[in-house]
Amino acid sequence: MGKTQQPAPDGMPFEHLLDEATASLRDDEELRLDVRAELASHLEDKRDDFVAKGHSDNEALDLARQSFGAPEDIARDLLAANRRRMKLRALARLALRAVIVPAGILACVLVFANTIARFGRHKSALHAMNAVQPLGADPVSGMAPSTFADLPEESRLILLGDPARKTESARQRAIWEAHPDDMAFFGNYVTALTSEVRPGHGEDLFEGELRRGMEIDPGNARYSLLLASHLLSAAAEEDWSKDTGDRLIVKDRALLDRAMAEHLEACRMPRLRTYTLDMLSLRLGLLPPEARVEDRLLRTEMAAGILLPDLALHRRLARVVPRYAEMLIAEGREDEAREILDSWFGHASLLAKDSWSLIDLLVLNAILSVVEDKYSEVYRDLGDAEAAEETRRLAGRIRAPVQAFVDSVNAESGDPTLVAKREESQRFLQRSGGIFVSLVMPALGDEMLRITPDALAPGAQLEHTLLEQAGLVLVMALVLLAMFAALLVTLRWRASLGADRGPLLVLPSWQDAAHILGLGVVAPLAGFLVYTRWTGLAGREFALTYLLPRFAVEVVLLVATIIFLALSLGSAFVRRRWLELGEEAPPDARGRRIGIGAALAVLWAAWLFVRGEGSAVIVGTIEAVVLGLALLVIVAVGVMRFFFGRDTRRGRFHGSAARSLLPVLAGAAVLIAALAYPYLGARERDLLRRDRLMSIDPDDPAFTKPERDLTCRLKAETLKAVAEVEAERPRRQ
Amino acid sequence: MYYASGGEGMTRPERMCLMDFDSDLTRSTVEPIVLRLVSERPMYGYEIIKVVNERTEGAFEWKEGTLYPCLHRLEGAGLVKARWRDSEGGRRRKYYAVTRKGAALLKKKVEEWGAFTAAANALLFGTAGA
Repeated sequence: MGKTQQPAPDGMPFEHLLDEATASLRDDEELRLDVRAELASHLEDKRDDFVAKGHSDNEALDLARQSFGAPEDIARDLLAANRRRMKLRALARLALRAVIVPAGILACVLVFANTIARFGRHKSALHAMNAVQPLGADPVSGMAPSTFADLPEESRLILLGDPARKTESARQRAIWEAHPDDMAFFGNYVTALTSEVRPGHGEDLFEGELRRGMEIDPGNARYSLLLASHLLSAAAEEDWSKDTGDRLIVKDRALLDRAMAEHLEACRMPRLRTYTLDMLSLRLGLLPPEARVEDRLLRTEMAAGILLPDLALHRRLARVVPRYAEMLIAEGREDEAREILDSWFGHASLLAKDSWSLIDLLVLNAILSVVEDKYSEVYRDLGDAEAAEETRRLAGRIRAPVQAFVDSVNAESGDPTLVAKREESQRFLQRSGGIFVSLVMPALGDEMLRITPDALAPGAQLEHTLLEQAGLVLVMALVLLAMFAALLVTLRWRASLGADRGPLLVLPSWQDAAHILGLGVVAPLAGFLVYTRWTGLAGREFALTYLLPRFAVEVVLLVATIIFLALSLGSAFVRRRWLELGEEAPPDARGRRIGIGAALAVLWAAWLFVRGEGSAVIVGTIEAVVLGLALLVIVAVGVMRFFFGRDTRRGRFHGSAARSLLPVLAGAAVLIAALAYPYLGARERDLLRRDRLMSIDPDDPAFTKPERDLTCRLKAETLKAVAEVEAERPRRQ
Repeated sequence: MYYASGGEGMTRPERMCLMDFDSDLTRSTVEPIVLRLVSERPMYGYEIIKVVNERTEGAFEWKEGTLYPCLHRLEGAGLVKARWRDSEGGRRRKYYAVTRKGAALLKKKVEEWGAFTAAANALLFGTAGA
């Protein structure tokens, strides 16, 4: 066409002719091979035509070659025609190497990093929850300031105090200094101070601040009680061992008298305010909305951490009083002994009013139990049997509601029908509730009977979602491992065959890419989603503890399916292209592929109908581990054989397959991260929103809603009993 | 089609003279002709050459150097799509088919060619042409 068309020289074999005609396309080896194969097919057709017209094979070959035209001219025209396409393909290859593969690695790394960070936060929160908290310790204050970096400065001050200060009390004091009229902040500062004061360390400051509390917050018994407890520590040692009976070893009698005087004074005050509930409510209200499980753990941790600042000292004072009264009686100071013994009611009514959690009420119950036994015993020693009996009766009356609850927690007590119901309810909680629910709820006694399956479901599903996120990390880790293996195989064959004959990066069309990723990655994920959410076969109505082994096998099956499908489809594509390019490829292992695919399908089908004894879905851990390991070994052997075959004759094919599958695997990683990760995050947020059982309402904080309901009911009954006893006591006196 | 419209009323020897076409004229017709042929059914390169030869009774005798660069240009421009297929004899061949974009361009080119040849025929032969 407008150029000199010289026929190809005689005797030039097709191979050489084709190499010359396509030499201009060497920058794109796949394209060159493609064009070469097309021209080869053309020449063969032409030769066949000449043979059909009666020429001999050799003549036909020569004629075909001669009519081909000058290979140099064809090479020049082919380059001109393909230049734009070659540029685009070079860009596509660059995008695969420099964008898709790094994006795949980045997706894996981001998922790992985020998971490690989340695990760290979980661990920190769980550790704080499990750790023995020092009296008055605040979990939030121990957190890195960066935790709340997004919050306004004022909110961060109230949550953390001033992180620049050295001690916890100094950090908490900063909040009160910024709001000197707010007694809640002062009370919070004193709470921090109680955990730091030691004999000979900070005592003057502590006493001074308690006196300040009495001054600026008059009528609040807390500061007098704290001072009484503090003085008692220096004045005496207690020995509550069962062997020796209750003993008080007095070190400083004058201090003991002061401690008891403070206690008596406190029990006459109108109110007790630790402000812990106020601080908790305020701080919970400042936190950003819950988006992750660790956000909820933080709230639970906060509720647990600032719950019990003073309870131990109340029990201690209550136990010391009868021993102190005995000392007074021995000294002939019977009136003073009666006065201090009678303080129990004031103490109990203060505690009842300031109770907000079940533990507060249980401590009150324990104190009243001491009153019932020890206080009435001392009255009896005084020879006042009537007072002894009255004290026992009235203390028993106040503690009756909480004691009835305590009895109900013991599942084996009560009438047989109720006992059977309790046992059934506990089994139900263990099977259908979240781990935390099944740990906490049985402690609520008959309150757990009121919990419905609908209320339990979001919490249990939330834990499934967390496990699915862990499964996702496993999937990403295996995809990353496969990418690494593909890279190694590529490098191996590149080193063996040299750069010119080294592995090719075969570019898939968008249809091929969609086919491989759609069927190999998206379809298994979608199938897994349908299976776990809507078929009713996955047993997701059961608690995580029941499903864990089953879930482990399912994740392994899913990973095996994704890797098998993605590699099969990917290698089938590479193989097809390889044959189109006229290159030698190993025989199609279709039989083996079908075999592995059928085995996986059978395993899935069998798995769907696996049933454990006594439950619809549970399986034993050992079976799950054995099956999981067997599957992993099968997949690993298959992958290793594919990647590390020693057939050097077909090394270029294996290398090219590995090199071309690398971006496929990277695309799979990006796709999984882009589809599954946001979905699981959104589901986690949704389930957190729906799970009202374990959520903590800043306006009405409690560990759990059932506990809050129970506490409210028991507190109301206890306060009613307190009011009745209060009305009765003056008449007797 | 293009040949028929340009050579209507000419004798066979006269038409044969057209084999030595001006290269610019040939270049401007190759792409529409290829588009036209692969719009009828998917065809491979050698088949296209044979069909062109048959339908023009030898007037157009394209070489590999004419056809394949043209096919690759069209493929690069998204006017045709190529697909390797095994033919009946077992030989693997690359078949080309027109795309929607190619079909639209073909329609436009045919109309353009019709108008052009009519005008040129009126001037050269004193007829309204095709």
